[in-house]
Amino acid sequence: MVKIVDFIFFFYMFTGLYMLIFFVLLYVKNKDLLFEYPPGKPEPVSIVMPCYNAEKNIGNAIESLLNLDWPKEMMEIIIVDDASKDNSVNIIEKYVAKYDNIRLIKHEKNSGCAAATTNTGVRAAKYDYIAVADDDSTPKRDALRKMIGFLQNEKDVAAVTCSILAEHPETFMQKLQGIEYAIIAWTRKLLDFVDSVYVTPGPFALYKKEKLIEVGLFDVKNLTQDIEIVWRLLSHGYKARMSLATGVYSETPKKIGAWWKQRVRWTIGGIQTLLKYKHLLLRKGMLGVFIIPFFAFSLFLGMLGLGLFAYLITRRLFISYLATRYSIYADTAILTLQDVSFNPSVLNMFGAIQLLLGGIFTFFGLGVMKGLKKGKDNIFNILFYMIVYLTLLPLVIITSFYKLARGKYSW
Amino acid sequence: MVGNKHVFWQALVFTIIIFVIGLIFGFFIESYLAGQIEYSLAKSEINLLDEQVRIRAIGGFDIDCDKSKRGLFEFADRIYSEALKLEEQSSSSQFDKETFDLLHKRYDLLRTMLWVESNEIKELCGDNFHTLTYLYESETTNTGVRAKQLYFSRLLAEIKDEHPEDILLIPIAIDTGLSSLEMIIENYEITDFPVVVINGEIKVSEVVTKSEFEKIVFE
Repeated sequence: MVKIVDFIFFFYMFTGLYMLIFFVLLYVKNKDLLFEYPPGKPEPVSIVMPCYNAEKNIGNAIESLLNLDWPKEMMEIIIVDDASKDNSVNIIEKYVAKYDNIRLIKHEKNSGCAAATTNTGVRAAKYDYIAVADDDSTPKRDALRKMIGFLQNEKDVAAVTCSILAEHPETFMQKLQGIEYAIIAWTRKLLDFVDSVYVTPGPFALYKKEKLIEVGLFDVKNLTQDIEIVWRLLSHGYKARMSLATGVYSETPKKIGAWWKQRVRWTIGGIQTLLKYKHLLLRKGMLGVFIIPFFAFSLFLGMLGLGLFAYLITRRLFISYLATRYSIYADTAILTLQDVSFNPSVLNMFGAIQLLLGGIFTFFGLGVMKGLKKGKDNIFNILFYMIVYLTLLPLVIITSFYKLARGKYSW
Repeated sequence: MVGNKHVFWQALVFTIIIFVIGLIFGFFIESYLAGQIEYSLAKSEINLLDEQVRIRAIGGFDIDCDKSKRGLFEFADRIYSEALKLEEQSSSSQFDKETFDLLHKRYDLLRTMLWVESNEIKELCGDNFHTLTYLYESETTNTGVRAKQLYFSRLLAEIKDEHPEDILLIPIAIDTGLSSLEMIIENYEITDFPVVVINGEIKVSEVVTKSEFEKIVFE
């Protein structure tokens, strides 16, 4: 009889294999459409950039917006400063003095979240299309040109995202994130083919202003307003699209501590969104049929896997510890050949095959994103990403649940 | 999008097909491995019967006791390594557990018979070797017991390694439901496992040092 632990492993493998095949099929069916985008015509766009303590990157971020391949008379840049304590405002004011189409709005008090700052900008915007940009991100020149068509051509599309990619990955941690961002961009585009884009990340996204106002703007209570807004739009019957052909380069955390903090925030936001929309399970089209179950299932599998792994490893370590203590006392060998002998089971072989397939998928995805992604990847980084980096994510989930339960979280 | 919606169930069908093929393949591999062990087991069973005839012959004819002892040791060593192989295969078995459990049972029965045979040889040919019968639980989930069993297997393997000609090591799993073994265990009044029965007389179930253990065996 198959043991419960084995059953869980089989379940994991089945789910993993399903998702892999799902993405492969989507890719095979749509590979010619991956980098396609509906041609759009220039229309006025208000770009809202929330800013907080961004003196290091704000200049670059503004320059990249000014460099966008878009008629200058059809673009306004609204920078909303959330009571920065550094030199950000002075830098922005220099741009405001130099360019007519740049405005600065200052919050008297720090709102503590990007959602409130973005909402200020949206309310002040003159035009019907709103682009939201981060203060540490630089969109590609063609970003607006390759995104706006999605909004113009489909009436029910209310939001468009693009490839979010890592800006100049230098540290090892940034290189790993570079791989992750590229794979996420590719798979997000694949999800677009089943109307399941579930986030329009902050670095650069385009919205229809009237739809944002209709659904009530960004949620100031949510830590990931960029996920929440899409779920809200979907719940109102709108769609979000993804333009893989263009992208935005975003600064990534250099060290694991900052990365951890960022991921915990994202995960808490994801959980908040899930809890807010759980009542829509199996309702409201792809939101209830795929996105909500997909999200919930990912969190559940992550925690279950970590729990199982922790149980097995703790048990094994405890037995080894006791046996070693006995062996030291008895003056016998503490490790024998038999202890380290490994006889792979069919389950191990399944796991190895799946890891191999996952590896091929990752390499392939990086190949697809080669033209957009910055920095080169070596095999060690890719393997480390697959084997170590991804296994850290369940720990992030556990920490996020813990912090959420204790109410100890902030933007 | 319309064409893409089919991807959900198409992926499911493909996954089920690949998974079923994988399961059949896994089952086939395990059956093949079990078949190989079964073949070794059949050879060992013939060998044991041969051994039993030899012991009976000792009573009727004047046959060399050394030869019998050598035969017994060779047989014990062989089924020890075969059982070790079985242990490895069965620990990694996912599908054919029942076959492997049955093989385990047959090996444990063989080793129980070996234990009885060794006592008979000792009676006929004298006490010129030491029998260490190691009784353990193969299915225990108790971490303390597992750690102790790990310690005993290391200790006994080392002692056997150092005294190959003097020690007859017979490890037997007690939780396979063999009535003959249960009777013997009851007869020895053994209740705690793991335990090492030395020459059918002394029982060691506590953690002792190697030199203490050697002292118990050889003195």
